[in-house]
Order: sequence, then C-alpha cells, then structure tokens
Amino acid sequence: MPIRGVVGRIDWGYFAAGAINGYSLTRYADGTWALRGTLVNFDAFKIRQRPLVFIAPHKDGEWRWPVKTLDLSEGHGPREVHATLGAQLPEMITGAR
Amino acid sequence: MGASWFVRPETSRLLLSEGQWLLVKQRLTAGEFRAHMKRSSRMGDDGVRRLDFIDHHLSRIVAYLLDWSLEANIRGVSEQDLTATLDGLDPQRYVEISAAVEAHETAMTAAREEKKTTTPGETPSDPTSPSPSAPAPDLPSPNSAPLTSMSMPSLSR
Repeated sequence: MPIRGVVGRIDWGYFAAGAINGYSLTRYADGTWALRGTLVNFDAFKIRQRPLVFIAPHKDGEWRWPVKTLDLSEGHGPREVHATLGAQLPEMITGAR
Repeated sequence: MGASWFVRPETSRLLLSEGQWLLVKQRLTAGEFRAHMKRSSRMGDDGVRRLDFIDHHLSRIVAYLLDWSLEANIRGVSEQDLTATLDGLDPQRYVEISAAVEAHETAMTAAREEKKTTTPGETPSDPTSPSPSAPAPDLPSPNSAPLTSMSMPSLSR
C-alpha cells in the first residue's frame, strides 16, 4: 500500500534541486522504493547532478531516501516524475535543539 | 585534468568559542556570488553601484551559512528569516561569526589559488594573448589604479 504525501523535495547536497507537490511512495520487497509525483519546480542543472536525495518533511524533521534513478518527463512547467529510491536513510530530526 | 569548473555542494564546519560551530558552504556558485554582490551594494544617484561594507559582512554570512549549533533553527530558512535571526544576535557574537566566515572565504580563495599551478610538462598559455580574430584587449595603463579590494566598492551597472 503506497504512502502518500503532499510536499516533498529533491536535494543535491545542500542545494534544492526540485520541489514536489503530491507524491506516492511504494516499497518493494527488496527494500527499494518507487516514487511518483508532480515536480512543480526544479533547477535544470541541479536536478541532473548526483547524488540526489528525496526528502519528505514532517513536523519534527525529514524522511530521506537516496535517488537511484530519476525520470523527468518532457515538456515545460510542472511534470510527472518517476524515480526509484534506495533504502531509507536515517531520519533527520530538526524540530528541537 | 583540473578541478571541475562547477561548484559541488561541499561544506565545512567552523569552530567558534564555547564549543559552538557553523556549517558553511565551501564555495559559492556564480549565482550565489552574484546575489551576494547585489545584496552588498547600492545604486548611487550617479548610476554607479557601490559596495556597502556593513551590508557586505551580513550578506557574506547569509551566502555561506547553512546551519549552526546555536539554539535558533536556521536550516533551510529563507534569506529574510536568516537575516532576521542574525539581527537578533549579540553584537560581539555577530562579529565573531562574521570573522569566522570571512576567514573561511579567505582560506578557500587561497587554497584555490594554490591549486592553479601548471601541470608538469604543460606550458601555460598567455592569458593576455589575443585570439587571431579578436581585437587586442584594452589593457590598463601602468598609471591605472591597481585592482585591489578597495576597488570593489565601485561596480559598473
């Protein structure tokens, strides 16, 4: 059963490479994940760099996955994005210092 | 082959007093540097853009700073929110942070200059040599003012 969310983003290091609005994550038996979503804004240079990380913010921090493959559909403006993600990275907690 | 002409998102941790630290970008991209120069300068009535040294220090911190160990969360905040947070610092702590970021920038610039050595066996090309089809560049005369950091306040529009 997929996990669904609204706000997500793709980072290259500390750079924001893309903003996602509306996504679903499906976990496979081998621990990898499939990401489908709508890329509403992206940096044409940074989105083509590696390594990328998909980030799903939540109220206390962020869930993070490494991007293994990324397929940007053609065209201008918001577009569907399909990606395969590796095993989930350690959660980043930012809510409290 | 030399280092990449593009900036990778690499970071450095700068230590402050009392065990505090800053996480900063190692280098700025051209776009980040341009934004930094815009924030640091004002257009005069004469149409010449001049660097404002007070704003320049703040802008440099905004350009480089990614995170810190202080209690206020700045990770991923907007430029405006970061500026507001920095404005809330004790003035002496602000100066300490500004000095740390300036020292980092100076050190990174020096390290890059050091790397610009010629590969053994290669003859460096004369950077002032014109290409066959290009007109000779206008070089500054020996009496021109030297290009030092003091020339930075005056940026052409």
